[in-house]
Amino acid sequence: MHLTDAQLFGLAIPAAGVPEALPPHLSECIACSRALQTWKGAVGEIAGEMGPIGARTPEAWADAEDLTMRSIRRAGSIRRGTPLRWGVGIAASLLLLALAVPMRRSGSGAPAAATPSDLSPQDQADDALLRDVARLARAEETGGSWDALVPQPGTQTRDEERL
Amino acid sequence: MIPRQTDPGVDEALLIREVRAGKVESFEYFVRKYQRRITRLAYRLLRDAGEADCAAQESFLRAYQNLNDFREGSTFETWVTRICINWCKDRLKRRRLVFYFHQGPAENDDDESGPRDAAAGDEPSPERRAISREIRERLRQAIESLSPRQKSVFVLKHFEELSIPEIAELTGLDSGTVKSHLFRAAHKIRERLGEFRKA
Repeated sequence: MHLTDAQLFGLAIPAAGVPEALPPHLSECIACSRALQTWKGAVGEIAGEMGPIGARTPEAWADAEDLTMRSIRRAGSIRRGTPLRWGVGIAASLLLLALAVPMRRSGSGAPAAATPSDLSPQDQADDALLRDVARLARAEETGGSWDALVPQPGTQTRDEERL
Repeated sequence: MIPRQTDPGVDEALLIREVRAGKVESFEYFVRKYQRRITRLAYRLLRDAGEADCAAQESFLRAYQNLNDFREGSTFETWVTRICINWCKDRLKRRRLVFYFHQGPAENDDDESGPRDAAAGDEPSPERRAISREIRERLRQAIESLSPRQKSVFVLKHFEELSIPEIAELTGLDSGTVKSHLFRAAHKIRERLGEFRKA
């Protein structure tokens, strides 16, 4: 059984980059051995193919290099280094932050917090309930009794009356 | 006076310091010494002489403009090669996008004669040359089907004959990732060659 193209390619260009062991068939089959040489030759030729660049004269190379130097001279001075660029960026961000914080504190943009008198009775009742729950949680953490917030039977709390 | 690229013992670090200090002429040494090699590498990746020239010129320009980011421990050649590889990878990505949207996925070669069948016999030399030409064409097409990263790793390994650690340094990948890309590239080419045979 002759080697396939893929097998020949695998031998000409090993996948791992290191030469692979040759199959015993190659030592017996002149056709496959010759085909492998053809594959290796083709790979070498592709690697060596330089098209018009390969036929370039020293003068043409010098022209290309001159062109590069001209573009470099046109570009002017080299850019500042990355740390300096980052430093400038960070300084600018800090400056913006320093300007933005006092503006926010002066209350020019943000709405003021609502006072209890602005809230509807329903909202005030909800707030009171939440405060009770928070107090209850605190009492539990500090070992306080649940009875402190449990209404006595037959009595109504202010909140219940409101609800 | 600017040292010639053939002058022995040129202190490249000193020249870089001079360029940083504003002496643009000192950069000419690097252009004269490395532009040919960079252009050839770009050509191997892009297979277009015009684009290869553009890649080389752009790589040197970027290297010059960002010279303050160049670390003293590295070599200028590695630095400019890395810039060139990245430029070519971007170019290949763009080319693939344009190709995909304008023409759709690549078609297989519809030439029916297989190199293996022909190579099995005892052919005269013109036929042998034809086989070699066909293999080259199929291989070239298979290499073109690789992703930009796979292609750059493949070209650096098999055409530029660089070692895995050298490729890792140039591409900014670790050695394991380079090996993985190489393996995938070879696998993909094998698959493509299989498709050729079926066609």
